Amino acid sequence: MLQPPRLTVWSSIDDLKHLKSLLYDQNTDYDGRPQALEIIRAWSSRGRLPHAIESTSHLTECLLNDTPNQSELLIRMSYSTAICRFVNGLLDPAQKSHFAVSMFSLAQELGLPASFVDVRHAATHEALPPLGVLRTTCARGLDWLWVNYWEKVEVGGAVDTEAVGRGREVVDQERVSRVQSLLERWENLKKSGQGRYREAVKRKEERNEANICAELEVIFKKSAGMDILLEILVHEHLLVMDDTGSMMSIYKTTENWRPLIQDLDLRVEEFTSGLFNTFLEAMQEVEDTKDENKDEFAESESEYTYQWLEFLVGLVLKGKLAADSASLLDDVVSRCILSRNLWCLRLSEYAIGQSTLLEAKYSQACTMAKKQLIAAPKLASNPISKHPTSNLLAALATDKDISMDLDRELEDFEAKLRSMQAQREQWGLNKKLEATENTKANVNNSTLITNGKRAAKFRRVEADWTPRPMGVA
Amino acid sequence: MSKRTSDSKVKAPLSALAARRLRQQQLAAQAEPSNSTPNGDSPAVTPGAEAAPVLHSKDVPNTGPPAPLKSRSPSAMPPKETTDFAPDLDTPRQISNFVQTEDNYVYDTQTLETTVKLRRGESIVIQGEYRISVISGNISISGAILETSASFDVIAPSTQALPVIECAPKSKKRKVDKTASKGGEYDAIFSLQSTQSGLNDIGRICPRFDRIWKPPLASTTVKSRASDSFTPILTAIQPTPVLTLPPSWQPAITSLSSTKQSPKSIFIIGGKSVGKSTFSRYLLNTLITNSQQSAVAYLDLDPGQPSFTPPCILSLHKITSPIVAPSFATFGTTEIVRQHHMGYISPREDPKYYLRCAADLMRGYRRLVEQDERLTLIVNTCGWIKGMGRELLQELVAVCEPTDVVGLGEVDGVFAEILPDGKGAKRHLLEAAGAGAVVGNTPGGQQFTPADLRMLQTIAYFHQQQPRNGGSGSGSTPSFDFGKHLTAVPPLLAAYKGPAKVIHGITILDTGITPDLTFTALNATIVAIKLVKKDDREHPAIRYLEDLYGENDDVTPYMPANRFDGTSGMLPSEGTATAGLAIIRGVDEANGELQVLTPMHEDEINGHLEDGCRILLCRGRDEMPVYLMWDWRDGRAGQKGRGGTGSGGGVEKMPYLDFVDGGEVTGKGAKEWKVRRNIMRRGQQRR
Repeated sequence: MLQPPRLTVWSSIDDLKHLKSLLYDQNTDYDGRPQALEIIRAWSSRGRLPHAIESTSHLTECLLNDTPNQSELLIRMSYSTAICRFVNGLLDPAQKSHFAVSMFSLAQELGLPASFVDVRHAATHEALPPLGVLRTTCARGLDWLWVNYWEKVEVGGAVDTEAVGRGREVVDQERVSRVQSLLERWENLKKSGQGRYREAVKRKEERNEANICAELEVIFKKSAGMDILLEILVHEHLLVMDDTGSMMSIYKTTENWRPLIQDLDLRVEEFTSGLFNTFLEAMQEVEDTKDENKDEFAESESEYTYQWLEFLVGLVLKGKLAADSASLLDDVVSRCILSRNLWCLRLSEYAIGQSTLLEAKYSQACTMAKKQLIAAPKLASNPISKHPTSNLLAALATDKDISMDLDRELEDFEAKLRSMQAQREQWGLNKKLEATENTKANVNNSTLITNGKRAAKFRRVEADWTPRPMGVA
Repeated sequence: MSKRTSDSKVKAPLSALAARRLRQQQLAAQAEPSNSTPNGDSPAVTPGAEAAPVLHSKDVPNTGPPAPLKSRSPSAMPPKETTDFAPDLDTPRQISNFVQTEDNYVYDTQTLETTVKLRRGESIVIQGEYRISVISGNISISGAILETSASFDVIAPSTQALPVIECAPKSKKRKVDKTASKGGEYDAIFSLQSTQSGLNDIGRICPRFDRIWKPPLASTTVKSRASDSFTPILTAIQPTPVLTLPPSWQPAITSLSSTKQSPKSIFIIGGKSVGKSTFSRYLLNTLITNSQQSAVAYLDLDPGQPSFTPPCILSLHKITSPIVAPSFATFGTTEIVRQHHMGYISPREDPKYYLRCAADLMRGYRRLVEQDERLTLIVNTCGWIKGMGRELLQELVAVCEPTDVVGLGEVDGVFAEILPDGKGAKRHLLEAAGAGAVVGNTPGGQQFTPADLRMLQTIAYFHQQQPRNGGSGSGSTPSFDFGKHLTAVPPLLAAYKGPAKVIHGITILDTGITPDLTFTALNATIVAIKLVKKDDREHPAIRYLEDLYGENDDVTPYMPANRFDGTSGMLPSEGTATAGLAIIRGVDEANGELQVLTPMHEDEINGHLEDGCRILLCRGRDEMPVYLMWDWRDGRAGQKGRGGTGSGGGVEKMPYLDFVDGGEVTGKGAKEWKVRRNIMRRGQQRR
């Protein structure tokens, strides 16, 4: 599920870098700070400023107005307010519990020297601190902001797609065990929570659950690859049958884990598609390792895995999972059809049976794939790949003689899939092209118009309007 | 009435005093000669109150005094009061007590209408949007009494408590005594027709609101056709708020809609989430359909959650037909007599301007009264009743001179302060809708904060469709188009420089920035389009523009707000009208043109210009919903190029959007200062 982007007050990160240099690159010829303050003032009318920027502007404003011809009281009061707001704005959000934690311990956690808290306290509740103290505190505040905020602007600011990945950390053992223990906690919570109806207990449990989800979210988001974490989730928890091995336990299990899955679905981008991946791979694995002796066990294992997948698809179909459900379903169903795995086919049949939209798109391909699978069961060992288009062709190449027309049908289906992809890409390119051409045309147009006479009116853009981002004229 | 959820939560025990007061109110409610409710079929009846025992979970499982909502049928809830019963989450709760038979819910394939027949005492809750037409008998919905052959449009998504449709006694409006027994054994028959306001598609722009049209999870509904735009809901496992009145409200509404003294001016106060807007709406609908009034004036003084305009606006409306629709679906249903964009969602940011606007709107109302003597006024206020908020209320009372003041919730203290003895206003102290706490906790229930609703209002406002007939009168059904993202909508071009300029002034409230940064501040923001008569030489903005720029058309006509004595000093409410809102979607500085998006038609704006108006753009602090900036269906397109090399940028670049997980900048203090008001000191217990 796509998380919406954040709105920023700056148009591009370059603007922020520019601001940074205006604020902190002192040079003898030119002081950029007054200009920086102007920019921040303009930004502040757009929306809420990040606290660090707001504080920097307040403190800088005080510093610049600290001149001998100003009233001393006025200077002291403005320093005091700026420092109070700097400290409060930094520490307030750190109050995470229901009751107030002392500002000193909050400051310690944040790495803010305790003297700031002292000055804030004096400025709020006692005599206004003397000018000397205020000046030093202000200067130290600006230094602190530099180290803790502005220096990061450059680093985090180099935004290209790779940087997103680079910013993430490798999954280490510590993280793995943390995830394991969180998931165990969840399981125990659910086991012990059965049949409890006391409100207070329930609420406590709800809180516990929320905490687990929140912590998992953080770990998932920080981690470069979710795969290993998802595997822990799927293989060590979701797919663990209870001792009886009875199929009925699936219902309890799915219900127990449903809240966690839904929650992470909302919070972590690509969680659900990752989960599907892991499950589908598991499905394949079971089938692959199936040997004659353990057949019965493998059968129930497959069934169990299948039930999970059906449950997840059901959730997606009912709109309880994944906002971007349409493309996710497309992905899952087409992969299943191309997988040549009986269980996966069953899953796609299930999905097709539940949605007329999917039915229209895939029912034919599904029937074909099924026929072929029954005709040539050996093919079933094709691994599911994330790129369904690549492996089916290979499969087809080796088995051309089996059933030509079935193959052709499937080939058609694949070709369609590919052309859809290509179209999408082409469309993206065209859009770019059109847009650049249009801007050129626009320039020409408008120069023409300015030369002629225009009525003083609001007028609708006449030429074709190419969609373009807000803020881009 | 409360947004009561059928999910019960333990209520805090009442104090003895509160319990006594509650009891008195209930007695009073019973003693009140209920003219309008001869059979006890008050429209406010909890649906299914006396129905089957399945309803246990609807009741408040506590040993406290009987829940106020239940006063009508105490016998229906016997000894379980003492059991420590917690609701089983899987037990369906009854929403409607309508029982479908082959006869009472019939779809006609010819007319594409569904006919519903109700008996007295039956209720039906229908989610979605529909036109309801009464065939025989009377029905009530959200305070409106609809008589035979009346018809109107309902919009009922799950963002709000769902309205209940019931049989109603005859309206007091017309004294035609029809012995209408066309319906045979049924007391009311009405038809439902699917309607398409376009709101159904709001999820295409904002996926968060995708589900507001879907029936609650695991509910039983009357089997309806897939093509129907509505679903009657019978029971639901998911908590589903349904519109129900606290017992003291109905008598108050009855007495307020009596015609003894008229026109009344009814002033409604109360804290946050006590049901002020709901009460106002119910009263409004009752006044219009069930009293001698044909029109009602409505003064909306809550810029945070206005009922009929986007946020940040104060407005005066003349309303001639009942309205059952959430606040984001009411554009065009009223006649806006006058409105003022104050630029903030709370009067706190500019109390003086707030009062000036209110006073100006009251003058507007008095002018209306001069033309039409019987125009009752409803004044809805915001939920700020402490500190300066209380002082503001006091001033508002002086400005509005209400005949009746309705206080919801614990407002005795407020009454004492804002209504000094000797003032003639009649006081009505009613209980709060009170379900706020319950609603706030419903597990799995859909949750919308005031900020969410503001976002909805703003998104809906900018996706309005031009009314087809061009007229924007009261009673027209709003129409929306969410098919295209705003980035794909061709904007209007408006010059702010040169001989063809149509933007005569630009300002940013309470800020003075250097003029060359004007569009750094304004690009891709929401602004108000304000109108000032160009021959109004006394107007400070006109004077300033003339003094500073004169005939010079070659500069941006920027007005630094800090040169004036606040907004009231720059754009005094008397001489300034607000036409509507616009988004500055782009600035073409080379040609001195703005690209603006607004639901207003260009002819309408040009009409104002021809009438001799100057157009001023005024930036308040209206929040831009991110979904108006970003088409989520495009996914992450635009991520590339963000912050690129700085050379040219490229068209894909999306300004003002940060796509990086965890934020582009990660240092300390990278977040806005979020205020937490609910932190307690150690040892400080919630009372």
